[in-house]
Amino acid sequence: MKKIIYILVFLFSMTTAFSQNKLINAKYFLQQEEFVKAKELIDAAVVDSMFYDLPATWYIKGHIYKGLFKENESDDLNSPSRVTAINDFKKCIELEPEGQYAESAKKGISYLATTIYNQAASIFNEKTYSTAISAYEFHKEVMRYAYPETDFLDKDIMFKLRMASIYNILAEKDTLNAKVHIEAAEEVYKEVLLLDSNNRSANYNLGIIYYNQGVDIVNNMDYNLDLMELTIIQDEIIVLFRKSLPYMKKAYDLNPTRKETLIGLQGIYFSLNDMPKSELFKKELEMLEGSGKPTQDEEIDEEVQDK
Amino acid sequence: MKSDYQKVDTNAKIKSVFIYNFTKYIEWPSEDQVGEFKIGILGKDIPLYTELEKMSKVKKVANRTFSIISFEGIAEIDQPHILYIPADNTELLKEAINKLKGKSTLIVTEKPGMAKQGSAINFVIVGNTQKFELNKANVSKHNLKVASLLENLAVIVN
Repeated sequence: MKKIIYILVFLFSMTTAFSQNKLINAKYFLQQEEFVKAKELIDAAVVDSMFYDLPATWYIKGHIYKGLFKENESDDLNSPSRVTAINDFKKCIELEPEGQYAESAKKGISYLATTIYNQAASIFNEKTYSTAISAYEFHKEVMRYAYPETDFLDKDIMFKLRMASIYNILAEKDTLNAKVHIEAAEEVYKEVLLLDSNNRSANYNLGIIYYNQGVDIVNNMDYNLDLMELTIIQDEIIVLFRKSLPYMKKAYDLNPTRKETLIGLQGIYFSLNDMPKSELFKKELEMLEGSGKPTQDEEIDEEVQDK
Repeated sequence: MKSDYQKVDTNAKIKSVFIYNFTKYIEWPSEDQVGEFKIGILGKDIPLYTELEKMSKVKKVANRTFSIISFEGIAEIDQPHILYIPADNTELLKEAINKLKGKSTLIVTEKPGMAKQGSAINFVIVGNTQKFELNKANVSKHNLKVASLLENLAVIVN
């Protein structure tokens, strides 16, 4: 009987030791950056009731899957390892909302959220913009879990401006639906101004959209247009030019040395038949160009080239 | 529809539409209703010249083709049906009138007060929009007749 008890104690000790080794060994292989071996061990550990409720288990698992993501799936927007790592870090935080593991797990989440953001930014083009937007929303969701106070205002504005410029590109390429794309861009610029009324780019581009709408009407006019109709159309286009003016003026107030804004104001006032003001901005532009100093537009172009 | 700034002279297009309407609502003597319909610009108004050139490629006056001419000076003026004098050359109005005395030319200007100084039609800006003044006496002096519809839409100047 005694012999059987010894055998059972021995077997229990062996099992416990083996179980403990799973976590210790997983951590060891993680430190060695042997993520595949580490994965096998940690996947076995998390189904073991001995480790399931330990923050350390999920913390280590999160790091192992983060390593797998970096090693094999860093170009994959839908990386399963990244999603697993995020969920593991979340589980770790759930088990220990405060403390050392929680803080480290938050940093792990933040790192992974940043990789999602970077990928979203890199695929934000006219072909894959909807995927990019979904990815950006996922980035925000993940980041908010770790750091609920994160301020996304600047990033939101940047993504919206990028979206608007994609609509503009689509308008150029898909001429049949150009009006729809431009209207979409208009809405996005308005959203940006709701977030930041002093956004120069949104003000400038809204000014251009309304100005161009007036110009398009003029361009499409038939020479044979009846004079009564011409009177009505002139009234319509003046409304659009007047609508564009406050946005362009605001863009000018925000940065008076941008060439494009001076050209825009010159054109709007010209189309409003306000020649003195059109001349004023024409001269301002000539002075700016003649000063030898680079205009804001040129400075930005140079910065882009440098990069 | 473009998304970047369109450098377009909207005024030139609007004036071209007006001018095309003038060809419909002004009556030239029968001897001037044959051959090309000549529109001359005194001096350089490149946007308007370009726009009228475009118009001449797609429109006619009662089956007559347009000829758009840019006159460098008074001496070059060769009895066009319409003579357009841009604001920069307004000081040449008197000389142009003398040159075209008794000829069937509609003189069009674009500076305040010119309809009182001899032009038949003068473009003016009213509330940011292009309108036109009409001096019927100056039209008649050049043996031209104005349709009532044009009169109704004009600012009449005596």
